[in-house]
Amino acid sequence: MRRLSTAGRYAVLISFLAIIIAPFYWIVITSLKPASELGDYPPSLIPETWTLDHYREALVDFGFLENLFNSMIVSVSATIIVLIFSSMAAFAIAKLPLPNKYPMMVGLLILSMFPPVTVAPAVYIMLNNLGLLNTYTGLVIPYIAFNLPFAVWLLRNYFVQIPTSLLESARVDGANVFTIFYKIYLPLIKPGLFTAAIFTYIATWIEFFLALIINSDPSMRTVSVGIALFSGPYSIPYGTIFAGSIIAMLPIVILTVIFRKGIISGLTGGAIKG
Amino acid sequence: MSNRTKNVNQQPLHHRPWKKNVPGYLMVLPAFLVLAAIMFYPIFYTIRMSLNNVDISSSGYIFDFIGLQHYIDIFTNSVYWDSIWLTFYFAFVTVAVEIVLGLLIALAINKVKRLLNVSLVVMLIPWALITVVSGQMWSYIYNAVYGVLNYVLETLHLIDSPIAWLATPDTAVISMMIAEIWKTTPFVVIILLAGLQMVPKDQYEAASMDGANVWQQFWKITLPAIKGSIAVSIIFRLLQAFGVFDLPFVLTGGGPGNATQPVAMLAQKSLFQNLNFGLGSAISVSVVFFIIMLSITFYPLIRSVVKGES
Repeated sequence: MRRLSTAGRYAVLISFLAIIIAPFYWIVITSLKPASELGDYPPSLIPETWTLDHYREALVDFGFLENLFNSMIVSVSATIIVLIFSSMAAFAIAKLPLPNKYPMMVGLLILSMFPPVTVAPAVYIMLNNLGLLNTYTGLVIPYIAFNLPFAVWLLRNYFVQIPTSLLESARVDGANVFTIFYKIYLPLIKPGLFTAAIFTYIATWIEFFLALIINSDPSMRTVSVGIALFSGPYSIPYGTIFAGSIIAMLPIVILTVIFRKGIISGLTGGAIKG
Repeated sequence: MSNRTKNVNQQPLHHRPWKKNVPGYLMVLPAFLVLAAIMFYPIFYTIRMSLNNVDISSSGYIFDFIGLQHYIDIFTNSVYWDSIWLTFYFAFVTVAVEIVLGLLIALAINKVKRLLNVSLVVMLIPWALITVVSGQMWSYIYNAVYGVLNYVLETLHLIDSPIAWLATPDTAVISMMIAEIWKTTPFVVIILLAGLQMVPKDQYEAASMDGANVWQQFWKITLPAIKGSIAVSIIFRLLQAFGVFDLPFVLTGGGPGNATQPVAMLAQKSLFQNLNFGLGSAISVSVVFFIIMLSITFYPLIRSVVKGES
């Protein structure tokens, strides 16, 4: 086995990036082709005529604007509440005396990996009994539960890095634990809060299973359900689907590009400094 | 960290031992309540439903206890076992390919200096991609009549005539796996790159001086150093792949026949298309069982993740 030359390394990197990007290129191009070109074979690799018709169809005719609005409300609400609950729990686990911290962390890790289908039957019936199907609240509550475990994990790692001496000296001065948490520790882990917020926002924005069963009413659908259930009278309207997809992807792509450093350090425990 | 926690524990302010835990309990409480209401309680409620015939009436749900009948029904049904087999097959094959491919790519690009920051952003995009969008995208690419994949393969003379990728069971399963591998390999590469960046360079230099070849260096230095990153990737990807639903829902609808129907989709169909809540609950409970079994099997990996983070 020989060491790979520098040129070889770049060749691997560029091919890998090309394989990632090619399908995206294809849906962008498809969304800009007129409907008449979509069924062509061989397909045209660049549109012969460029058009924004599919974007208008997605937003106006298919009511995709409503899906976007629903997703925005649900994701923002879930993110805010996840941040509040997870930062409190993470602070307690990292800095306060509590028994059984280790089993707690293992339990959270395992819970964070439970797929929604495991609780879906009961959650559906509970929400139905409470009259919360097809409401924002009905979707936000399970989203909070499914995103809490990971957020607690992430924020705990940030709190652990802050010296406990701050807590001790503030306590000696008579401040209570909640004030210390809110006034001293929380501002110090702002980067962690951003990262947790981005993870939760993206996870809830792309979630499909729960959104499909809980908010199935067309007026309450989120973007992922909207995109999955897009259908035309005769054939699958791919141009419109991809126009809608690109609009739905824009907010999270922008967030990902802006907060890439936080996301990568959150994914990798701070090993790669972006 | 444990030393510092002990210092807080030893504060003289607290005379009664349980009292020192009260602030901690209070701050964990909201998160615990949400998890209890949406995770723990529903799991037990789902177990209860799985032991009953659940009928929907105008006054609510009526439970009629039938014992293990739903379990007997699913365990004697080949459609159920097909979906379980597909789910395991899909999870293990995709994760194995992702880890091997991810490791090879990460090793190759580890020492690249330029472009790495831009590349990391590009690799993050599939991670943040809505799975349903990925499903629609691949269904258009795989299309038998006008799909671009057939066009590319024909141009390269790899196939003679267009293939209906999603129309036969074998090709449909492989197509679904490729779409999954495309979406998640970049995630694995990022995690493994992080591990590789922490390997001290002087270890390689010392090993080179001792005459160790590249292969020996990989086994003795690289692999032990990135064991943790590999463990994280395996656990997260395996359990996530076990719940696969979004991708086949859009790409194949579970077909042809039931060839690409994972267990989550079988449960969803029993529950929300056939409205058989008892049977669907039994399928859901079996998923919980398999996840617990996977967690126990991979507990050494999980423990190393928790230890590494502490």
